[in-house]
Amino acid sequence: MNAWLIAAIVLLTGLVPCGALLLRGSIVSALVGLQMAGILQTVVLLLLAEGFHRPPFFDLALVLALLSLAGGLVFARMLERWV
Amino acid sequence: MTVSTAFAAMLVSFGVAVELACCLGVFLMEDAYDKLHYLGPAAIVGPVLIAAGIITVEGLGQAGIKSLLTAALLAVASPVLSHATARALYIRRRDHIEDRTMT
Amino acid sequence: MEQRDSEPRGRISLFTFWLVWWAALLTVWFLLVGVFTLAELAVGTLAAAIAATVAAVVHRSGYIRFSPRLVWLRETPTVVWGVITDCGLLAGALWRRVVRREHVRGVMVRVAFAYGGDNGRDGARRALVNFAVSLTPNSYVVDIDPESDSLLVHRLVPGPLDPVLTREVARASLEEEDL
Repeated sequence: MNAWLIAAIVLLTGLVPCGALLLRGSIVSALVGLQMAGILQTVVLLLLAEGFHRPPFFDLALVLALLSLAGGLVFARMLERWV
Repeated sequence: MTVSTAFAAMLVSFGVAVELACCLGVFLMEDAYDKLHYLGPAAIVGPVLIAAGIITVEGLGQAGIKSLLTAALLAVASPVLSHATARALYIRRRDHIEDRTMT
Repeated sequence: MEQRDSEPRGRISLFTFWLVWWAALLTVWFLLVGVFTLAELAVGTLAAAIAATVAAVVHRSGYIRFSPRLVWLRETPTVVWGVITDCGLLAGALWRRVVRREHVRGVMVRVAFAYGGDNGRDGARRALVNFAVSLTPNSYVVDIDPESDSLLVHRLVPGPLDPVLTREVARASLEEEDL
């Protein structure tokens, strides 16, 4: 256990309010919660990559950031009229 | 603990604090329009501080460059997503589409 | 009457466009891979060539009309400063919500904005104004209305408009006077 992993664990607690918003909020508030969760998870992956000293894990964070953008745009577009 | 390690710890701590504060903002603000504002600092300030912390420790090697690229990608994506989500909410309210809750 | 600078004076050739994309993508490839070997150079060259070709085909088709001006980069320090100051405003709003338990509600503001035409220069201006306003955390663009030549912006903490918005409002007023 090192400081990077502790920071990642502390940051994971931020997923609790995001999850609550996803479960209890309106549909657009849930999308905001999902986007926030995506950002949190990307940053957690960066911290885990540094904490475990595994350079390939940084690629996971980069790919998640890209996919979160794409996914968020798809959801937002669908919510305009079709859901 | 060296000066650079202490500086990195400070940057990462501040970055984590910003992220958690933004989670609180997203959860506590009442309207979806108001919640959206807190995605900005979460996607821009937090990742930049954490990437800066990683670069302070690792230098501009693979880890540092990829952290920087990830932070840059999040910063560029954030305004795009905010606008897209806000526009979806605006169209739904303008067209009186029912704002269902997830439960 | 001021001539609106709606199209770039000299169009760059398709090959130059392809070459710039290829160089940029090859740079990103090496930043991600981290090693400079002959094998990586070969694979990176091929991958960047394929992606640059796709970019050139899309550009040639005219689907994306995006022709920004380099001089617009001068707004960058203002926008960066806006991000920092707006974080303070959001922190204050969160403090009022959490500690003082006040109801914090944002405001929707409609500002004049010259929509322009369906060309690369005006398209780039709309996209970059949207990006710059939405980047600063206290505000984001909700809608751009071409019929009323206006921008709908949501601000969490009311106050003076961003410098980028102020400039666009002044530009819209100037164009209205010209008409």
